[in-house]
Amino acid sequence: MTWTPALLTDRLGGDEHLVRELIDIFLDEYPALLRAVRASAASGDSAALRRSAHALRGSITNFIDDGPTVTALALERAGEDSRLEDAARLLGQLEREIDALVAAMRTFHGADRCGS
Amino acid sequence: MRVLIADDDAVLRHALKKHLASWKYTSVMASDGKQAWKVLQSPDPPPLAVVDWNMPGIDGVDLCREIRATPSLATMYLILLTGNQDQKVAGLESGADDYITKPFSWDELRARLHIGSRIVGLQQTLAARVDELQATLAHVKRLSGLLPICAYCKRIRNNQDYWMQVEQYLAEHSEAEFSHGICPECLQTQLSFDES
Repeated sequence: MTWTPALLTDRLGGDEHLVRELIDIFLDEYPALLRAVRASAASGDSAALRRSAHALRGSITNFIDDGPTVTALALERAGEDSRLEDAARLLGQLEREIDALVAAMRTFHGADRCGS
Repeated sequence: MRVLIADDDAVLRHALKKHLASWKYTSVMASDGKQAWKVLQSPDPPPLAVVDWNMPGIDGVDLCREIRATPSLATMYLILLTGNQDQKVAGLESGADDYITKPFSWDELRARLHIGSRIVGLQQTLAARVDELQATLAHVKRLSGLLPICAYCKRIRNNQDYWMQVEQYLAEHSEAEFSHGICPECLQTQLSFDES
């Protein structure tokens, strides 16, 4: 999984200011989205897992097509199919991928922000 | 033109707002289905909407169904957003006019919004013409049916059983106006009567 700001800047027609704004919003929003996924996986609520993984995937997919987007989709499908035994493994993988994405964003952004 | 953006993803909402502004649209934002429905129940709702399929509260498909079941929103143009290609038919059957899968290209969205705004514009023009025609018809007075007229004095009996002069009756029941004169035959009759 590799995220580069150039990928997003290209998608947004070269608007680097907008890229920074979107990263700001993502960094504000993703901790709560990730917490909701953790909580639904922990409670064993497969419908909530599907919904929360979908919401997190929606936010991540604005930035990257592979890596955490694919893992969040797998988690969403695990919720849909009530395969909660896969959830813990997928969640661990998703957290690592999101950490890498966030680190790349912060490097680009140069912002000193708090994570999850 | 105003566009309702209904999506629970704050990142995408912001990107949509910025892009729509650069394309000269005014965005009205909603972060879930219930908020979107509240916007649509305002006295002057946006005529165009970009609605996410998966939202808390009311999802995009149910929102489309609600909109189509509401006569005052019947002409609204709806673009449904989803991350799932397989939902295309169900989305369109719920009442959406168009469908875009995420992640989408901004050029594609701009083109689809352009189609939507053109259709909304045509519908608004048509509705304005219908209103205009109805207003005109309301003012047009029509004469029709059987009129009781006196065989001798040519007065016409109105609905209140009052016998009216022909010109008075026509003035009240049509757009006709009268300018009084004397025809050659009457002129001759009147002249010979005056001379005698």
